[in-house]
Amino acid sequence: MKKLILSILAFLLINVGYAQDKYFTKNGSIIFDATTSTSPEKVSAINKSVACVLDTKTGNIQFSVLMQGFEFEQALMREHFHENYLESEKFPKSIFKGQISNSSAINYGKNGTYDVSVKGQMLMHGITKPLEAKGKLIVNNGKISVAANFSILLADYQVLVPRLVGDKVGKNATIKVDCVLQVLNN
Amino acid sequence: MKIKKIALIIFLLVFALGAYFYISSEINRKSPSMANSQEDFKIEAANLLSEFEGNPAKANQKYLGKVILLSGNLKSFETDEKGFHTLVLGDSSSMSSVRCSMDNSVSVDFKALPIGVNIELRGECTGFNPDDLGLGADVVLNRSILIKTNKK
Repeated sequence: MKKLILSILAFLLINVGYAQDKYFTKNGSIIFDATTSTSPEKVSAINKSVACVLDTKTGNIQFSVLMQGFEFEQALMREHFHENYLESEKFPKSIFKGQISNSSAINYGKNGTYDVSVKGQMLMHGITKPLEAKGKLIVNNGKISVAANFSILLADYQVLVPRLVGDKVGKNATIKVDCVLQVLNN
Repeated sequence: MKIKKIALIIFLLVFALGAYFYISSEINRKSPSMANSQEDFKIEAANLLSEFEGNPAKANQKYLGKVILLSGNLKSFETDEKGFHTLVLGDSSSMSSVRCSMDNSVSVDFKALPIGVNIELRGECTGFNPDDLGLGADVVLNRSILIKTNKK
């Protein structure tokens, strides 16, 4: 009986420890910006429902983005983005799976700001490409903020902008990631 | 002959002005608020979630980008660091939910909503995240507007 209780306690402790290693959000935000100096207005959209999970034990980090969730101020821009360029109905989701290269140097239990480098694979518009980005990770009272700013070449993901608007929409898009993660208590 | 020329110039001017106003109104057209949109579907949160869990591809085809009038019990209410609100509907014993990102241009005191209350809201379906991150499965609605609170 004693052994059984001890085994159950050990199992619970292992699981609690496991859960404490993982941090998540379902309310992260990503800003997509393809504005150029000749754009008549900002070609920019925000997605406020980005899911992200970080395993602090391994440094593995994953983002899941529903493409239809990108909101533009102008309806026409939104329609072109979803229907013509990103084809959001055909490719409803973008996923990034990667790893923080210097995760072992981060003390996730202590408040602090760390420069991080993330390397992985990004799936967008049905195309998977390797991606490396630098960012900041801030540990603050049990929460972890993840911020990154990087650029992607739209043609790499076969997102083709027609020549007619070629000077108004950038060939590169800036992606700004901003997520505040909380501990995952299963 | 002179009258014909004048008429042609007036016609071209009117046409050019019309084209200019049409193009500029198209460029500046805002996405319609969910408050003024007609729903494509009316469904309970639990049923919407089970349709996506049962056959995500079929449900995507049916609901993606469509306006949904959704009803269900309020499971939680979240506000992120930027002040964006999310109402989470579904069964409180399950990790899976319908997450409704609210339209911030409409001011509502969400904190006044008691957890467990049955609510009705209208939003645009942006898709489904299956439980592959270990966070539960979620259907996501965007630009949502609270329509009513069904008091018991």
